[in-house]
Amino acid sequence: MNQPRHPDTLDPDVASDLRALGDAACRDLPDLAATRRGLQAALARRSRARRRSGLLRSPQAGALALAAAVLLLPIPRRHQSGWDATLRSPSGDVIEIRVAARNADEARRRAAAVARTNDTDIYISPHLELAWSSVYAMARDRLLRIDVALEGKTDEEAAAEIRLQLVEQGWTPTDVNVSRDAETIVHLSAEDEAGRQLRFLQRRLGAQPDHITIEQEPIDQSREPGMTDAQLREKIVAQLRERGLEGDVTVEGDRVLVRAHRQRGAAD
Amino acid sequence: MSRQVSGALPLASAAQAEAGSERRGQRLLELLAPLHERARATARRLCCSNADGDDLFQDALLRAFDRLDDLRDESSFRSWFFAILLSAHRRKHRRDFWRRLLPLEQAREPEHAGEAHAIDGAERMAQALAVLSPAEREAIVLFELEGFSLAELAELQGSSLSAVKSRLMRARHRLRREYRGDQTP
Repeated sequence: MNQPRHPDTLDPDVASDLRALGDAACRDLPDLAATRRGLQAALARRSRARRRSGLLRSPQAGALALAAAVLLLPIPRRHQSGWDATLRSPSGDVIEIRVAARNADEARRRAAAVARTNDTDIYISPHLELAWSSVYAMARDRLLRIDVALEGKTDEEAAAEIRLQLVEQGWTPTDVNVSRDAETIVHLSAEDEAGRQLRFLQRRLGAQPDHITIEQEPIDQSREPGMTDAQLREKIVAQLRERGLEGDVTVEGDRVLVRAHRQRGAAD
Repeated sequence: MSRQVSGALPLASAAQAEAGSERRGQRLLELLAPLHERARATARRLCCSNADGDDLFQDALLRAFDRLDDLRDESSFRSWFFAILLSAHRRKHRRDFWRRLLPLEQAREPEHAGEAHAIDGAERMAQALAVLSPAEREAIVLFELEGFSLAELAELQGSSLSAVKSRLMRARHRLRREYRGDQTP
């Protein structure tokens, strides 16, 4: 331990206590090995912190975070949860019940079972609720997913399986065809309770697939306020084009007719 | 034309960087070894606290690691490292200034807080030393305890010799006054 120099400049008791303070600083000093470990640990901590902060600061991460926030941010939407059935008896009594069913016909059949008499008037309407949900959840709900194993099934059985899966997901199939010859063609059209139309055409050359897999969002045929027939047609054609489809689209007022087919040279 | 790629480095580059970091750390510790204990003790004395001094030393060590490539002459490592230590000390003091504005419960408890013990001479000296400005404390610690000359002190503090002499005189005067609890200027 160094002695305080120039003792004449500091009073002896001050110098003595300064020395005592200096001695206290030498107690339990970590050795060089401890310093080495400390340096390695500090460098590792700093490296991790820099990686984290670098990740957060990168423009891509910022854009991803923004996109995630938009997708996950809850927004209000109306969604259907079952059906409201109003039963009016010949004597004028009115009963309102809520029915869980896949479609309006099934709801009507269940409501009729409750009425027990054939002369009861039954009115069915979708039960709509306002709910908060994220864009991601809405997209997931709207996405149609169909997967049919073809092994051991005839074309008709495969079509029936597709119809069943459509119904399970809230769609009423209007036309479903499956044919497997030189090429496999799957064509289906359906609509849901909100009036949305679904049309799908898949054509595959070569070896017959062992599964039919469909996963896509339905074509949005809704007319936005002030939209002309030509603009609605263009909106539908653009969606078809995005999916590699060409379409003969006719829009006349409330009548929308879409005949879609695969673009030439487009891959499946 | 080569293109700079930010983000994840290729594996080979990451391994090279790790090896380079290892070499630099090894070189720093080799240079530090002869004055390791002294530098650590100085850090504790500057902070008037062993725990704070160890933190200060660690901070200075990291800064030295980052700047090691700037050291041209290894024979001047001692003054180079102590200059970094003093710089870290000043920075710590500025940080601690803002700590005074924190609510009381967030402020750091002094060591031995709550323990019933008599204030001994060393502790009284620590309290007196802590009142000095960072530059004055450095002057007392480095000149009176560590044996640095006035010229070395002037170089470390980036001041003229006369400025260091007057600073040292002022520091002694204030230390004596604080140590005795003398309120007169």
